Amino acid sequence: MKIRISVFVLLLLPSLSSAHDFWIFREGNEVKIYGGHDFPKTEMAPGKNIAVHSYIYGKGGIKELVLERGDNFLFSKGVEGAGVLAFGFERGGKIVYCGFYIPDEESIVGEEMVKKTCGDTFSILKKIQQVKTEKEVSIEFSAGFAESWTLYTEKGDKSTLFPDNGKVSFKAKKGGLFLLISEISGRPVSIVIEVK
Amino acid sequence: MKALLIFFLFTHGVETYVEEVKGVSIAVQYADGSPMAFADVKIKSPSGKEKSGQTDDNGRIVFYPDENGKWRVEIDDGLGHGAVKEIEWSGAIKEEERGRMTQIQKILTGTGIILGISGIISYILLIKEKRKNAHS
Repeated sequence: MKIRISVFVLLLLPSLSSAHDFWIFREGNEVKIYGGHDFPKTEMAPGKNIAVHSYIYGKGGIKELVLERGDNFLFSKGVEGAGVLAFGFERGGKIVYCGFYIPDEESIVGEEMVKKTCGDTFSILKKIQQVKTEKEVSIEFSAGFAESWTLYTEKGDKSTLFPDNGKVSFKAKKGGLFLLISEISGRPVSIVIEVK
Repeated sequence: MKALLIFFLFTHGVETYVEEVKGVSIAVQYADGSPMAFADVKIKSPSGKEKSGQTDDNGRIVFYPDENGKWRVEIDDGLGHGAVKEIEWSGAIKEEERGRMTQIQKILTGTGIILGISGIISYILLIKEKRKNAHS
């Protein structure tokens, strides 16, 4: 019986597979945009009919990055200095996906950056608090828009977070990259958070 | 002078005529009913000729087949969603290829296929089990 149920579940799973997600982050001096079904596994870069705009926000303000196409990702080499990263995908003049990367040393994604990449007006505030041996990460939004967020860890764990007063929080036992996925006005948005 | 130039431009060897032709229109939507606007489209004719284009802002593509046989249309939104549609053309589209499946029909079809396959697998496993029991 067990075998039969698992065969059924195995056959059912592919038919329920969801759309791809995309996320941006920095590896040393290289910025990358990956896409796939399960963070951190990567499957694809966006298609060529998608106009990609990517920005870095540092001391010099907002600067647009020029991205090249890798096998299954987009990248930009020689990116100096820390800062928030963002990307927006545009098709037919409409933004169809947007995302951010907040490195450990940064705590805010300002309205200007969000407006440029997502076309919406809100800001993101990140706080990391030490709770005994763990770190509690909370992300606060100036506009309460998302019903729920899906959190992915680098280990491949997945959980659902529900906002409380426009704030989502989770505990990080270990440092690494965490990916949050949700929607703003029906448009998917991703946030990669680095915890050291 | 300008008026003279425009006159020459609009009279020089260009003809327009309106005609009624039979064509194929395909509408592509996401599961939530929103149109797959400005997605890449590839159309392959029965003889293998390829044409490419994009859906309009209503997620629609229209083309006019000039050969009879199986036409293949591939739609890709560039974000991992896509669809492939094959159309048998013989001057018109076959009745069963017209219209669209509702979400419920799709779920029922998918569930039916899954149940069917798992049923076959269960049947094979049952026969194997019976044979094993018969031997022991």
